[in-house]
Amino acid sequence: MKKAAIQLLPILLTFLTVWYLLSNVNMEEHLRIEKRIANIGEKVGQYYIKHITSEKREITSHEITDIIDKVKNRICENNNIDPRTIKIHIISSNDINAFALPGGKIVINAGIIKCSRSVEEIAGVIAHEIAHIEKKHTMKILTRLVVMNAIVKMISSTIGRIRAETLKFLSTTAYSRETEEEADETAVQYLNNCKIDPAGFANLMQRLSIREPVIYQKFTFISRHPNSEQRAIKILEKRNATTIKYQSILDNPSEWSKITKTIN
Amino acid sequence: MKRETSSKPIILDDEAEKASFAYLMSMLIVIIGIPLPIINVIGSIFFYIANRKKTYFVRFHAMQSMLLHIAVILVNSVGLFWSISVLTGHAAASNLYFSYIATAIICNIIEIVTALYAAIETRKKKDIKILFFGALSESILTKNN
Repeated sequence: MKKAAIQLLPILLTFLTVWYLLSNVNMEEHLRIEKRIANIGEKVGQYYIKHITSEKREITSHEITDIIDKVKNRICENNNIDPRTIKIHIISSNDINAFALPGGKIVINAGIIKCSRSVEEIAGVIAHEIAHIEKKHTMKILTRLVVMNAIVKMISSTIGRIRAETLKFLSTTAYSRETEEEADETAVQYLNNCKIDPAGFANLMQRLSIREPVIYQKFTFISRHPNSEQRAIKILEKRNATTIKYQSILDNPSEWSKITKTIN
Repeated sequence: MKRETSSKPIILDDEAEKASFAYLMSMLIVIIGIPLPIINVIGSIFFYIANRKKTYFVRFHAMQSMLLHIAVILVNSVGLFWSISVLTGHAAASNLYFSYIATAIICNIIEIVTALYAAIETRKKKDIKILFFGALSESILTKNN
């Protein structure tokens, strides 16, 4: 056994030396990892948008898209984010939902716009989804799903359902409690930086909490996703910790309700 | 990495074939389309158990092949779990990670070449002892005897 132990030493040393020498080569740069991941993200995002718009119509009315883009630009410009890297798609769906996709794509359903009472509420949603993109949550979730699906694919033949299930997962409960909290926290920072009142975001969360199943409202620990009421409280706590003088997005706030009524 | 023993015991054709097959198991399993690396180890373990009552020459090579596969599977397992951590966002895709994967690939190539060389040489009735794995196999088999 002593002989084996002595012989193990050169093997271990060779292994560690090769590993050390290779670690001095900047592989990330040589393999252009960042660029490749960004390209994959872009393609994946486009793929899902194509899938969504093949089933539901994309709303392109300038009345609404101009305001949404104005909000997006204000958030991006005040938070050192290139607005060209974020693309918002408004989808004609009554589901009260918004979600981020890889490649800087955000899907906002008409349902959540109709449900909002001010543009500040939607600004909160946009800031939250931008935070998911900037913190690379979407790409991490998608990679995890791809790995899981690859395993499923190896042991079963459910490939056909994967695309739909992945999209359903991405648009609903894909994010963990920690990830959602991080995105909320970042969203409040983004909103504060561009002087948009996060109270709007908190109000929307508060109203959405009423629609959540009672079991999740009462026993939050059984859900990996944080409940909306708790999120609203935390957003307000963060908002109240600052003394920023917020500025309204629209010159005439009542304009928003007129616009939301025109969405079909 | 490899060296031959000076002693030349009488080895029968059947023994040489069995000893050679111990190394070829991993290649055969990959060829027949089961790319799960753990299969190699399981195959080697079964091969060793099935031949544990055979001559020392066969047992030695079955043990050496098994230990070689176990070592590589350990290196690969670290790489696999590290890769899953990177893919799920729990670890960074750092230079250290990429260099480990490259080192693991080199290890796998060395293992395949070594196993092939050992398979050919043992088929020629030559007793091949791989650095560390040979000594460890000898040590285990001597203890068991």
